[in-house]
Amino acid sequence: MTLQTQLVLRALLEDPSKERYGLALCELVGLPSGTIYPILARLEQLRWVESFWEDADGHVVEGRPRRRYYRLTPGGAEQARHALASTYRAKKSPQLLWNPEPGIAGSS
Amino acid sequence: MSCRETYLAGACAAARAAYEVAKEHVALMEAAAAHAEDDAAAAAAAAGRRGSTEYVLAAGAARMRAYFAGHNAAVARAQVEHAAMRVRLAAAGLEHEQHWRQRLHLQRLTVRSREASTRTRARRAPAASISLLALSTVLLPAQQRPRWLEDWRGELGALETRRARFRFVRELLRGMPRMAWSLRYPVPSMAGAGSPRNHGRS
Repeated sequence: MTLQTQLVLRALLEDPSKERYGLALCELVGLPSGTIYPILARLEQLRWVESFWEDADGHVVEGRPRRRYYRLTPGGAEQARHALASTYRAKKSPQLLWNPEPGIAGSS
Repeated sequence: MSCRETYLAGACAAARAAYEVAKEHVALMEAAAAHAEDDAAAAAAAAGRRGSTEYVLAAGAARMRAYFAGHNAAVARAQVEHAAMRVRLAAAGLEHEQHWRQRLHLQRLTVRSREASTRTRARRAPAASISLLALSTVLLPAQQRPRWLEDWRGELGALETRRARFRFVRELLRGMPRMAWSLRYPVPSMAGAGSPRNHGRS
């Protein structure tokens, strides 16, 4: 999982029941729109995040196009917590990718 | 307030009322459509053996009712859009009036009409940004283009400054290949999400 995805998930997990629109997430996470939307698309495909159109009351009164809101699904919130925890654990105990056998490099 | 301004402010209020009525109508029609769907299923179940003439007739009639109810709901939704457009047009008329009255040094608009105008002001996303985004969505799967474009149009409409809109569009254009990749090649788990480089890793 990329760092950006982790940031988005952390932002959404701050209040899993709260719906947020894309621009609010960009501001919250501090990432550009071109990074946030692919992540949201991916999370939506995995059904971690659900999206829905804004209620007509708000945008018609304000006279602007409707927005799409994103929110973690109950299952998605649990999976996100689990994924973040496992990422954190992996960071805490890094595994050596290259384990040189002792004596080979220094052998004569 | 001049007669014309009074008329335009009234038009604003009337359009808003029409919008409210249309919205209630949509709720009613959607409820009717849902009821018709249930009715169709119940009628088909009650008509007896699957494949029999009674079954086919009952199911066909119920389906027809459900179709018409769905059509009515769609028409009602279009009426809401139309009412919303009328609200915007009325507000735009009021703004236009205000603009010309100020330019011609005529009587100033009252606070009330100005408030009505700004409250219902049509804030549309700039056409150039939308066209550019629409062009770049060619990379996305065809069935998903309208949904994302409308999403971004909503965000663009909310951005106040030209600089903010430019930045939003620029970053979206930069991320469009990644977006296309994400939509075209879904990953089975989150382990590979976020970056095309990680695609396929579990």
